[in-house]
Amino acid sequence: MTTKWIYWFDELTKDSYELVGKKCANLGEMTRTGLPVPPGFALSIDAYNLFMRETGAAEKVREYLATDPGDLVRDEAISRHIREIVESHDLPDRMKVDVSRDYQKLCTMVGIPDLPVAVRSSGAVSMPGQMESFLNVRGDENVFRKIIEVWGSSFTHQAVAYRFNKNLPVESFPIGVAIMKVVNAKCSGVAFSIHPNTGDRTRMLIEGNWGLGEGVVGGEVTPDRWVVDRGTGVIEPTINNKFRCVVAKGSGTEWEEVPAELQDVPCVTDDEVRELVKLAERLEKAYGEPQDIEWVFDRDFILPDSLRVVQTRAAKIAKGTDTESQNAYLIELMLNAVYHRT
Amino acid sequence: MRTYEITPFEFDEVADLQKYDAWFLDGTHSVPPWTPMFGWSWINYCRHGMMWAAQKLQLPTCKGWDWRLHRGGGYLAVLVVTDPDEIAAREKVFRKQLEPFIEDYDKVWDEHLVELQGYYSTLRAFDIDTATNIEMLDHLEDVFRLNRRMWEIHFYFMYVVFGVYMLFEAMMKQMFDIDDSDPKFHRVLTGFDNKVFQVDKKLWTFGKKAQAMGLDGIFLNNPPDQVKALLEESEAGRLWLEDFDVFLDEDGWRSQRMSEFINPTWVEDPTPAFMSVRQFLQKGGEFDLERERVRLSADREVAEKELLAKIPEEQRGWFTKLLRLAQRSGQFSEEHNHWLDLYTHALVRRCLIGWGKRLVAADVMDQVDDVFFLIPDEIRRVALTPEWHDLREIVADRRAEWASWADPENPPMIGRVTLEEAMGTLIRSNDPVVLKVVVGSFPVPKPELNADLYGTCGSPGVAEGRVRMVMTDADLINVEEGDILVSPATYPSWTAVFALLGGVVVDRGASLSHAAIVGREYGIPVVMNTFEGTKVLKEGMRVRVDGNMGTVTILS
Repeated sequence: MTTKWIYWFDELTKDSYELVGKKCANLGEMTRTGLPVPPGFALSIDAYNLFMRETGAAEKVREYLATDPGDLVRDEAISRHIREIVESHDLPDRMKVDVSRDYQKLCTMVGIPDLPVAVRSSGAVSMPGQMESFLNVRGDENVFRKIIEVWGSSFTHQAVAYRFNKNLPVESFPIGVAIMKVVNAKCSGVAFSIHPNTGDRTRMLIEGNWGLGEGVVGGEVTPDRWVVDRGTGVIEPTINNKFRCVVAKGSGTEWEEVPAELQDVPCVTDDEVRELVKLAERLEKAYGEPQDIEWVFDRDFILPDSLRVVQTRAAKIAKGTDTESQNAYLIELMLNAVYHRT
Repeated sequence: MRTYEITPFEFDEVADLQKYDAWFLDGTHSVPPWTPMFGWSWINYCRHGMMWAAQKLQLPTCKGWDWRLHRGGGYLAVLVVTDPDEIAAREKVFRKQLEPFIEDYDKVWDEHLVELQGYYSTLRAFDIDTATNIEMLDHLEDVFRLNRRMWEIHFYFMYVVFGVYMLFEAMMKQMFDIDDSDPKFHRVLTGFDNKVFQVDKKLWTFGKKAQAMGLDGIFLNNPPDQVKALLEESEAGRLWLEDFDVFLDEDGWRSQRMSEFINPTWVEDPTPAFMSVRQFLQKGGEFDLERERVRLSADREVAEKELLAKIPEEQRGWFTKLLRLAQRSGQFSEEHNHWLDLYTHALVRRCLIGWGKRLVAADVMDQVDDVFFLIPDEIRRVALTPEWHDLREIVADRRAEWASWADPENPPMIGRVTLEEAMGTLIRSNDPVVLKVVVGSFPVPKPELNADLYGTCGSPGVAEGRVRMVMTDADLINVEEGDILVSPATYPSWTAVFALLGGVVVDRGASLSHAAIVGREYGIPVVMNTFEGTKVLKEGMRVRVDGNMGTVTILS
């Protein structure tokens, strides 16, 4: 087997998903195309296999399943037991050395000792919401532990039942792991390189709130909005009362009250707006069509490095003026706006 | 004979909290608690109608709601779809199912309305007085079959129509930064003729006529329940009543409480209709309902033009289509109660009263309305050989139980998670009916406004006035010009009173609830989802209702 099982995002492309799982492959692709995603690296699927083999966990799981312990779908105790087997092992020393080397390298790059990172699962087969991800993990030992817990989470009851029902192998489900800087979000939002719905290509729309992106798409708070004339660069702001926002808390996120003195202050400065406009124009050019971008400004960097992209995709806009395409467009809109299709 | 549970859908504290985190009380329809017969009917057919419609349409993320009955309260849990593969498969069908609505909404609605009106006219023509018990038994099956079909159609439309409304809200927000607390939002949706408005207009015209015939004093100076007898005393009064009976036969198929069988319909007892006539008379001579509608309609046309002018030419096609659909959804929200729930329930009641009379005559029970404390199986059991049965014990048990349900009140939620977590699940369903009628947006206290109650905007505007507590329709008589009506919720047969009101405060509701829709049509502020308005506010207090901010302030 290959000896290399850690890859920095810029070593990966969208075709690397069999090597490191889908999420890591996407992060790699974005990094390579020059999108400012948070820096980090991936543990390949081989790393998982290596861990399972070297610790003997794989053998123990196989032995346990061979005892025919019962109904995998109904009995949560079985998956719990497997997960305990996996998580009872420590990372082998030589793996620790390698992970620590690259984690420390990341800390040095950003300039923050014990940098808080996200440790996220990255399955080769998409299995949304089934496996765990951890935010704000700090220091070598915690990173080692959370990597093992991500691997262990491929044996949650849900995940085991899902594999069983979909006829996937139950006893092993190799996954990649992404380790990346947690964005220390000042503010987040969305940017459309074209005015959505009016389809006006001369204007751009930006929306933002303090904290993380869930605080904008959740719809509970009216975000600040900026309409930018792409020709003249004139910015028309609408600043709203942002009384709540979403922040990182422990290993998850939560809603928090915004201090009164910040509620009516623009969450994005004019300089930052201009940086967003540049980014949106660059992405629109790179992808050849108008883009719908999720962005965040990271407090740990200074402009322009503080601007990070969470995701970008083609902006949905109305096309065609005949009845049929109008009807189809309305149905699209309905699925997006009411049923929050992603 | 043993008293059985009303239905196998009775709430089970252990089993029903395993699969579901939480159950929400349907406060709009089941407070005060339902009679056993109505609870039975709701839990069987409203539940079925939702699941049927969600299945037929293949709503991507929701399979309707499950329902349980608990102490006469309807409790609901939303059936959220989470498997992405299943959502994708449902979405495919959903697209197809939406097409006919988008292509020609009126055609789809007319087809279903004609279907229902067919049942209505057949069932109305059934002669209860001369029917044999065998025929009456068939009639019982027929009215409940109608009830079932009515709920299917009800949600088939409501899911689509409320979805359209939400889309329109989202687009107005994105394109023009206008939300539904903005009067501009409602200007483009109001001023259409519809059935509720037509009924109001007829009642208003009857007021005008009473005035012309010198009968207005009878309405204004006497309690509405004495009006009929007083009218019968004079030639003019009898003439007026003759016309009024024609109106009732056409439009009187409704009772004051929409979701019950136990209240009389206008056909049986027109007192509530006389009350509406009185309210229009109180409003005075210069008020002209039709002129008001024409004004709203002209306003709307101007507002539409202004809106469309802001959109690039090539985008106007789909937006105009969405606007028309949103206008239809407003109309549906207003008039569906008349055509669906109220009419059907009135016909079920007519049949049940027929059975009540027969069972009293056969000495099976003592009072006609004891029938509302039975379930259909119990009627079936005794229908053909009533002389062999006695249902008094069941009726007595159920009446006693029913009386006990009023206190303590049913809790708004029964669950094993916090209210916030349970709300999260509701919101993930993306179910337009949950979001637009049941849950609404939650009020956000804004201490800087220094108000006494915080709610959400049902209808914009600001008004000051005296609090008039209206806990049941019997309290409507006390309402005077300019009053602020405070109530748990308002009901479709209360619309005429809106002509008198300065503003409305309701405990629960969302932007497509009755109080909001009618408040906007009558142009008065409505604050909803205050949760405790009926507890905090007291009869006679002077308050300021700010629909724009969603606040109520006690002035004295």
